[in-house]
Amino acid sequence: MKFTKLASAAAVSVLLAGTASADVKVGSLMGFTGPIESLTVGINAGAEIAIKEANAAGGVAGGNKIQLVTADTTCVDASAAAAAADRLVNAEQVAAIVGALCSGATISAANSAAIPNKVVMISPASTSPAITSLDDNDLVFRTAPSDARQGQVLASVLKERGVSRVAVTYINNDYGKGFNDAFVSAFRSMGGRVTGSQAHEDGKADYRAEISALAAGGAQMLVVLAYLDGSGQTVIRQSIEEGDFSRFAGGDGMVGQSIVDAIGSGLEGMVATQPGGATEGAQRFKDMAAAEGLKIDGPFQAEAYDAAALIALAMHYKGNVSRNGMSRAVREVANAPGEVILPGELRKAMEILSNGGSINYEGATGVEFNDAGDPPGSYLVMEVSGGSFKQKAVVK
Amino acid sequence: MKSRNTLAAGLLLGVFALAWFGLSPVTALLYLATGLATAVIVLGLNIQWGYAGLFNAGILGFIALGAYAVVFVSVEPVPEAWAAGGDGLLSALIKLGVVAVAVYAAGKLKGWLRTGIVHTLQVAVLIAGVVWLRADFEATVRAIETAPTANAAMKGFIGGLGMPVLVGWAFGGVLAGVVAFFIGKITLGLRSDYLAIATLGIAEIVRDFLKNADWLTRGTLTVSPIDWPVPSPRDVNAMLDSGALSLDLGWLGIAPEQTGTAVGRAAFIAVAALLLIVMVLAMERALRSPWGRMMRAIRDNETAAAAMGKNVVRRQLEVFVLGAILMGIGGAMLTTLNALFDPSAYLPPRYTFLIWAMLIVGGSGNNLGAVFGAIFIYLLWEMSEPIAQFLFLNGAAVIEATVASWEAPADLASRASQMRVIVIGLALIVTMRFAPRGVLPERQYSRQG
Repeated sequence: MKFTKLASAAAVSVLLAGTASADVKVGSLMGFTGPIESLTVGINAGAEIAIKEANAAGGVAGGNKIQLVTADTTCVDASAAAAAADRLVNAEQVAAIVGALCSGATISAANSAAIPNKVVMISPASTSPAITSLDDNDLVFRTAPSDARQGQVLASVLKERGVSRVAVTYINNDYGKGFNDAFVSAFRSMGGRVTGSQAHEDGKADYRAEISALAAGGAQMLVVLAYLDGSGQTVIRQSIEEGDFSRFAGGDGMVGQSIVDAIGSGLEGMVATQPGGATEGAQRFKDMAAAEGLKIDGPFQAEAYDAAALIALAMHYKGNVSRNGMSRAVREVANAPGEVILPGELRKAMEILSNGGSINYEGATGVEFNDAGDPPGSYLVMEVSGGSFKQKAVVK
Repeated sequence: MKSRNTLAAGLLLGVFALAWFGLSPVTALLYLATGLATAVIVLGLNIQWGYAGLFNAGILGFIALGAYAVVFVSVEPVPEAWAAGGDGLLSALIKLGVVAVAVYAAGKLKGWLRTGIVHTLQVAVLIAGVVWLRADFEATVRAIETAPTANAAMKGFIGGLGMPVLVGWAFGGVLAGVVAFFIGKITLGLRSDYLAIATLGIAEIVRDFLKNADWLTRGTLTVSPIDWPVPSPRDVNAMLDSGALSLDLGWLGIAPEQTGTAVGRAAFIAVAALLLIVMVLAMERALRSPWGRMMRAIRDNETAAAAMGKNVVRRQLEVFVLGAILMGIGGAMLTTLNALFDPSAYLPPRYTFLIWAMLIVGGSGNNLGAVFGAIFIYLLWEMSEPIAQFLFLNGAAVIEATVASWEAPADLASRASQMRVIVIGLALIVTMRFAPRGVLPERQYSRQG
């Protein structure tokens, strides 16, 4: 009986404390369930680091503490993404949203909730070219570059490594298709041969038919443009088992420790591109993350940090935590001119802004927005060696 | 019976009030709008399963067809793509007509030749026709997909007809109905399990076609936005901003910046509710008519009904097509509401099995039960995430405060999101235990009415 009383007293105090500590809410709209669920936890943690840092610096716009509210898009279902975004926008009353991750979810959330309510969304992971052309009143930004660029980068990386004949298998969604189109045309224009390029459906148990059809073309390497927890892993495992391919390449969706652990030594030498830079900012973010106990083993964590940091700084720049003027403020703090801001310098940035100065937030990924709200994008070349993905080079 | 009605109304109002006051009025309106559109789909399933006992395992195929119909009818055409491939499409359409007529005409030879020979002839005509059609068609598709467009984002997509979206809803019903006619024609004469297998397979074919026919549907690149039949939240916001409309909904707990969204959604709900009421009334009337009695007789004992001189296969075909038409219309409404057509979203857990759960919880054979089940289960499906989050996070805080050695897992919020699947399963089990025929079971009509 005593315990119940104690528990209910604790519950009441927690509820009161919970409502009092958050002065402004920021949404974290991500695919907590679905095909990228294992990436999502790390991406959300990246955003959390920035929020913690801004709160530790005394809160934004006159001491407002930020609380990150999560909502699940399921990554694939448009109506689930719309409903989750609507809950953040109308029920949780968030000032801005970090997300969504999957491109379809971002489009759905933007159209049904964010744009009608004039809420800024900064996606750390939506790489589909379709987002560039979204009619968004300048409300949708992203810190991850478009696949159109990544396709060219991956093509040039493979060409430099002396690969001349490749086969491509890509997940049949906006991400895979956009990436594939860009990669194939770039690789061909560099004089390489694409012996076959085939879409595959996610979530099947068996891809042997697709793989052996691609292997028949005599390619040196299989380029897998999919997600590491979904079809990407199965395709690679079955290629190795069947002896059809032994060399692999991939995009950002394939980079993560879970695939190396699952496949083992067969994955040694796999090459992949991933948005990010070897700028000083990237290193600083890594150190910060390590200090927070977050392992940087997947893509888009630095992008998520930048997205959340931009939202915090934009609110501080405006001097209030309302939604009005967010998109203009995001541009102001992200783009030149102004003092360059790297990860871990949010306190400094907020002081400059409070004193009426201007900043140019570079962050972990060298943030700069063009007219469509896209970044120009630099890429890391990752390679599996010694049982994990290691960074080999940077392509600007 | 009365107490059941009260229970259903109470449950519905309770969850809706929880969404309205616990989340926000605007969010509750979105849930209600989605619930109403889903109710049209569940009504369609009720006609197929509840009236006639036809097991449809491919609901998502009909929903996806209805969704695409909206894109085809209401999206603006892409002139460059039409210029590149319009002639080719027209000739393909004419050729398709010629092939269809030829197959039909070959069937008319049945009086002259042996049936086996006629069927072989029909298949041969069909194969030759497809070969004839494909030859130019490939080139047409390539022309459309490579035609340079002024708006680079629309490259490779032919667009739609640019007509009002309500026409798209009607066409959604027609398209789903036509496909259902052919499925039914082939499978309804067989044992009922074959219908389940055929619908399951055809739904996958429909989705794969919509995903991969990029020139026609824009495939996985998705089509958005889609017009609303009523002013959309964006339109109402524009009216409010320009001063053409002034409205204060503060007394409902709706903030000024949410007013546009609320009005747009309320208007959509009005249209959807009107449509749903008309459908329910029509279906109730059909259920009480001699046709409805005959359907139930067929459902309960096919052999007996056939012995009484009823054309069982013919009646089942009617009811299968009718149900599919409603599913198509419902799919069209959902797509319009989301303002996004994304063929990869149509996955069985959400668009076949959740629909089944709605009908079973609501009560199959009862139209009001179907409507109740659709709205209630959808509300439950959406509300389970915030409720689970609230319970998990606060619960964890309480335990952390009382048990010193316990630390909450870091991914608690994402675990809460996964609870919705469990909640639906629980709702099914509870319903099966305490109301095995659904919350609003089928009514037995006596002679007195």
